[in-house]
Amino acid sequence: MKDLKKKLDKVVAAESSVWMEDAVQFEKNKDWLDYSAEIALCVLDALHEKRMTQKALAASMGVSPQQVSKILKGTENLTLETISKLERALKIKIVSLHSYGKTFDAAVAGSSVAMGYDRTPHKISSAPTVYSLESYSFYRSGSKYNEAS
Amino acid sequence: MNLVRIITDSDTGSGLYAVRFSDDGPDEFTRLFRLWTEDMEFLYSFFREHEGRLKSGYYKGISIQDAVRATRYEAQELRNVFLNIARKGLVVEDTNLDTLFLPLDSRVYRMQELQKNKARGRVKKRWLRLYAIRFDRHCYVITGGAIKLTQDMSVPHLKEELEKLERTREFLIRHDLLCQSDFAYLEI
Repeated sequence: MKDLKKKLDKVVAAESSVWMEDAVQFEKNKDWLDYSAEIALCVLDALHEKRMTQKALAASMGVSPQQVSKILKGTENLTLETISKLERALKIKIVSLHSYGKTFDAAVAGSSVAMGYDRTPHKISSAPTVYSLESYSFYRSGSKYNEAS
Repeated sequence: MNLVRIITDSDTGSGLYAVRFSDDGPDEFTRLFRLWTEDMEFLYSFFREHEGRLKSGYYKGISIQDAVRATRYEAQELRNVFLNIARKGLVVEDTNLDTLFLPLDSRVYRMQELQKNKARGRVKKRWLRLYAIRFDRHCYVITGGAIKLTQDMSVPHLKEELEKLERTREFLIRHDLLCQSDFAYLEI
């Protein structure tokens, strides 16, 4: 075994692998990374369906292509502003809110007419409100989302 | 090309290594888990390219989105197995490197010198593979890995993995990490 170690020492890099740092960081940030991955998947599917390039998406959002590339990896801690830009540029709904078992869209108050949503005010409650990522296909298959012409 | 320590015993040198094919890139173990857990664009493109396979009866027409999710989940589970070994030690009762890796050729039942091995994810959709060469007791080198949707290794991205296994085997022999006369060529 000593011989083996000596031989290995000659071919093994001095620096260690960073795999464990990656794994620990992933564990630590798993909750939001899962959301980020789902958003990336949603965007990738929408880009494919709409035959839209990443460059066109970047231009539509007013961000750099590099920023879009990062979003599509699914490891960006996205701001609500960025998510809204994605939704608007792709004409899809990515994030919805749930309250009292009802689903409603975060953007209802601001842009429902342009986006084709019902403006009915939602009941205000003290119940906990949580984010939920909805798949693009859900909105496509249902009648919830109407593309702006 | 050199080796990088993944999980090793500092006294004996035994454990898990990974190949690093270029000086400025990550080792294969790190690269693969980054691809499988942190690159949705890669996964989506891969399954879009192989959509026909997903539609075959074997995979019951799983959607591309679900294939991506399954892969990401499987990769997390697989990495957690290694993380567990790293935290608990190389030789623990239920899981260690010798039980985790299986012969690449399922018809080979005994361990052979310089045997090529693969580690599979431990969840239901098991299409992730890590390819390795066993070069001593409890000693493995990860040479690469792939999403394997086919029975054989004839598709280009799997052929590339076979080439990497061969290159690594030659590297190990060249550096006298095992004698040349007794390695096993396996049918894959």
